[in-house]
Amino acid sequence: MIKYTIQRILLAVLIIVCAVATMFIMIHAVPGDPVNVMLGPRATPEIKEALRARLHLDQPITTQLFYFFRGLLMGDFGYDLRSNRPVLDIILEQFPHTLILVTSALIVSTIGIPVGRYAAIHRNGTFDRIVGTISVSIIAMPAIVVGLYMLLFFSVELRWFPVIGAGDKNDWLDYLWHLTLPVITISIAWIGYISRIVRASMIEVLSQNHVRMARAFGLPESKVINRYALRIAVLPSITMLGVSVALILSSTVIVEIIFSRPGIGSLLYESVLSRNYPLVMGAVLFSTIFIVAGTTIADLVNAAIDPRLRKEKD
Amino acid sequence: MSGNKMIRKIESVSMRLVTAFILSFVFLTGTINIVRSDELNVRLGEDFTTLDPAFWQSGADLTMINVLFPKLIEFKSGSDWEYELQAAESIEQVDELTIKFTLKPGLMWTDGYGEVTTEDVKYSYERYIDPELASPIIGDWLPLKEVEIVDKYSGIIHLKEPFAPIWWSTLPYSSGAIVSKKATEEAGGKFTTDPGATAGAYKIESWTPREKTVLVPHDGWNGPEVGFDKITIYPIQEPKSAEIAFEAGEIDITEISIGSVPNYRESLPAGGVLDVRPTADYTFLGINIANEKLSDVRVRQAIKMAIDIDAILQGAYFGVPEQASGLVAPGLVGYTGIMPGARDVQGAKALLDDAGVSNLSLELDVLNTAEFITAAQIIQANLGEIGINLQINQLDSGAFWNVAADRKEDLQLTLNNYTSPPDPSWSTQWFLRDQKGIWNWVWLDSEDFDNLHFAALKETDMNKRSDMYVDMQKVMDESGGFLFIMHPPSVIIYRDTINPGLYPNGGLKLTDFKAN
Amino acid sequence: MSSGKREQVEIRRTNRIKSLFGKLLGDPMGAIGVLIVASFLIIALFADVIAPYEPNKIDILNKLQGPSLDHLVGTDQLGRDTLSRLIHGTQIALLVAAISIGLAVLIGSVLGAIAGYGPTWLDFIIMLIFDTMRSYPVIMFALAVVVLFGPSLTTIIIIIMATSFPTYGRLMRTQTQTLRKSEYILSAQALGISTPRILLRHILPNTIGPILIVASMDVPFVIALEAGLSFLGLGVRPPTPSWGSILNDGFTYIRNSPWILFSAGAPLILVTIGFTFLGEQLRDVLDPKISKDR
Repeated sequence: MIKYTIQRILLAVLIIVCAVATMFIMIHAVPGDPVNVMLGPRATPEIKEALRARLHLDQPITTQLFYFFRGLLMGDFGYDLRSNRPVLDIILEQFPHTLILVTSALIVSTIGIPVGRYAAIHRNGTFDRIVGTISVSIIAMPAIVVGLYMLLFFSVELRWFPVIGAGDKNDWLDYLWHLTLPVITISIAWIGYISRIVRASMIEVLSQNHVRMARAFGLPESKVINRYALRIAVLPSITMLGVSVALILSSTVIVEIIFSRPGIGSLLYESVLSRNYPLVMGAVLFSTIFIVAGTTIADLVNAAIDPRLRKEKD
Repeated sequence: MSGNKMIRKIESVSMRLVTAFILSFVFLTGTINIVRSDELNVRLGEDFTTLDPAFWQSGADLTMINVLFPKLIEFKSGSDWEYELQAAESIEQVDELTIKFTLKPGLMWTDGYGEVTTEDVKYSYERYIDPELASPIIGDWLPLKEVEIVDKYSGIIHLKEPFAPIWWSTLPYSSGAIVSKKATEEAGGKFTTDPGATAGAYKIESWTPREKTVLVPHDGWNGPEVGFDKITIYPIQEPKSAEIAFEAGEIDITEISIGSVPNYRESLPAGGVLDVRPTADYTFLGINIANEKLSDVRVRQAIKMAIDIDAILQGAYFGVPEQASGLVAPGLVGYTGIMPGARDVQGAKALLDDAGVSNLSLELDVLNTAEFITAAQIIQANLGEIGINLQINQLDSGAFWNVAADRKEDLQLTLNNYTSPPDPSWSTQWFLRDQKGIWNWVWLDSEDFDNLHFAALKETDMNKRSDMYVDMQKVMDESGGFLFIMHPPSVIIYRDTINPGLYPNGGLKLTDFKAN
Repeated sequence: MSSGKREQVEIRRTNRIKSLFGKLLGDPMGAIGVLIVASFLIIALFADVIAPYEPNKIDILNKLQGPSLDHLVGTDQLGRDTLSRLIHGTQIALLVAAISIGLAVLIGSVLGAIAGYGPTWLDFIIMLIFDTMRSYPVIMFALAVVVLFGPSLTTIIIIIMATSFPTYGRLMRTQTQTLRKSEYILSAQALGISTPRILLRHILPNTIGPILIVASMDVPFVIALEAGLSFLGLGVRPPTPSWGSILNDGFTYIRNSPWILFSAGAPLILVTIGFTFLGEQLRDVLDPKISKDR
């Protein structure tokens, strides 16, 4: 297991390096001069040239990439082209908003667990059929439509929820209030998904021998379900969520834009549009680390449960 | 923790969270719309990024600079471009090259940086012409020779040559802002988001990037009393979100999109005031003279004739603005008032035939905002009628503002909006020959135009100056490279509990905001 | 193979397809899925006939009209009929989905088969490519590519293809790895049948089922991504109607004309439900054991 863990972590680092390097090369090939971003329209060509040299923008892309990674190793993520503040500071300001959004969405998604459990126990009953249909319908529901509909109905028409920003950090009620619609937007698909997975694996587990044995020994049904079946059935959905961090982060970009929330997603969107390269790279680096960490942890958890997976890799 | 307990925990936490959501919503729907009268909530289109007057970029930067730094003279809020004394007790143009000023005593910098003195004024203005500073807006002070210090409060600005715009786009605009010599030198001669010391009516109490900025009154301010104990500024990019936030009571004043004007004119939210005012900005279709397909002036004229400006004004701008007569907006030096001829499809076709052009395919580069894309689609339909096949390239702002640098003479049509302070020299400078491919996207190449521009800068007789700008607009019209559409109005909505200080172009002058 | 045998195979295949459809339609969920997907296909194919108006016809005088008998879901800011634009938007949505998923399946399968069948080092490199692509949030990758190539239909197809081929690649690789150890393939190898031939004739047919299921479930994601990019103004060129750009118009006029936003969301929701139902049912019919890769 230790050997596998080390291998897996090394691979994760390699993936991050590849992903970041690819993105770096791609955005530096983008038309649009960052020097114009920094200096605005009225700068003279000489001023622009000097700045270009200072940022190594006149060097070949490989050299720029080298400077970038060297900077990262020394903890230097670069500076925002416009405000000249350290990229790391800006990312660390924005990241908590995204992190809270994502974790809240994950927590709310766990509503799917009791729903799936109930559906599995009352298999093929009315509840199961209704929930089954609904959960399949919402599995792939695009965040963009859900978000816009939420905004239209609850903010614009009914005025129940605020439309802008993340609220006051020192006032948790206000913060939660601002969080509600974005969290629902993201988690709605996952509630459906988790309830499906939990239901399917519950049904599988309930038909297994040791569960049947437990029943035969006269254990109360609720104990059988909660102690044996649910425990096993929940694991696939938890690891599933680890793998799905990429998808969740993707929807946070849209959600942060629709609800004018601060966060990595909206930061990334704005900085891509303004060709603010250092900020784009910072946001890419952070999201990539976040995603790769998610998949790696999910893999390790899976491997810990199911030793066969380890062997395949070794 | 056993798996069982963990699951129970997850279940109970999630149930608690849902309850919290419901509760919080019940609580808070009861408590919204409570806005204290001594607090002001303002929306700007973006967060500020540079507070240094020598490096500012966005409208948010400008709004912040105007409230944080004092100027000798400052534009009045209201509907006419007039200046008033701010930090100066008196200011006087002695001759074409000399301006004398005296500061009001007692204006203090924040954070113990002492009093605002002539020393600070000298430093603030002379730093522009220091090549080491490399300010992109060096042009505002290019004719400056020096600022002579007479005593602690009075000084003399010496110019190398006459400079008419100094009273319009330099002293009362961003480049007239006075920064603290000591604080700025400590910061290394320039700064971005932390000026060290400010001396405007308000000072920054806290700044949460991309979320909000809180301003409080500066007790070292010696100007008129300020209106609010606290101003909170929210950066909200999407105008639609800002409108919704206004209606929900989250903000007290915001600029809104032109498209919302008809609706607001019909029914304003309770306690709302709509304010539509003209600006000197100009929206125009640029037709690149240097492009191979557009080199024939008849083709350019045909394009201009074929476009239905009225449909654009109705469709994209909801009939709010009037058609523009040229570069210069009504009420400003050099306004011509001569409207181009009406749409003439047959005439346009005839011109194309005359030029021997058929099956023309062109590209229109345009910013991907709702108004521009709508206008572009009308132009596309209009040009289709005279047999020109138009492809619309919708670009994000980063790509759009670099499109001329990237494509050079391959650039064909562009739909553009340039901002402008109330002096035409700021606008004519973009169409000089040395601006080709930088801001002159039409590749206008006219020696007459260049000569007139520089002559007008030095001309202090207003009538003569006006004639020069009229002549320059004639050159632009004859080139066939410009189809001026309108001067986009600035549209603002605010609560009737406040009395906003607005520059004539709708810009926020936070210093003058008062509670009603 | 004699012609008689080939006919038998053909018949068996038709029967299989027939029974597949039978099973799909037998379940209400599957039937709804098939019905919705078929309806959208018909709408896309016959958009010109079905749409009551020309989708790009500008009529400024009738802009931002509410729903009426003339315009069932109203008009947009240029007076264009929203319903007609939505109907024509179906073409873009399905076209993007078909081409990009098709290409993703093709590239993914080839790479996945090579990874599963080839030497370990090649497997490692290909898996690294897959993992790298999967470590970006799709929208983020899309933003970077759009600013690189400029917004257009081709760009969107490239983005979707690039972000979804790893899913098919991984699927193909797993299937190939499982199959290559099966006696069936080992005996084919012993008979001296060439590797490409084994892959094409024996491995590929066995993976079509799982790929079809994943592809069907993928369609809603792809359509939502196209809509998302068009919503951000980074999608297809105007005046081409796309659900995303209509959503954007709807967002712009969310106060004046909420029905634009409302009606532009509806086809997205329907298409999502249709393809998800179809995918779920396909899974039940074809292969109850396959795990979801999403």
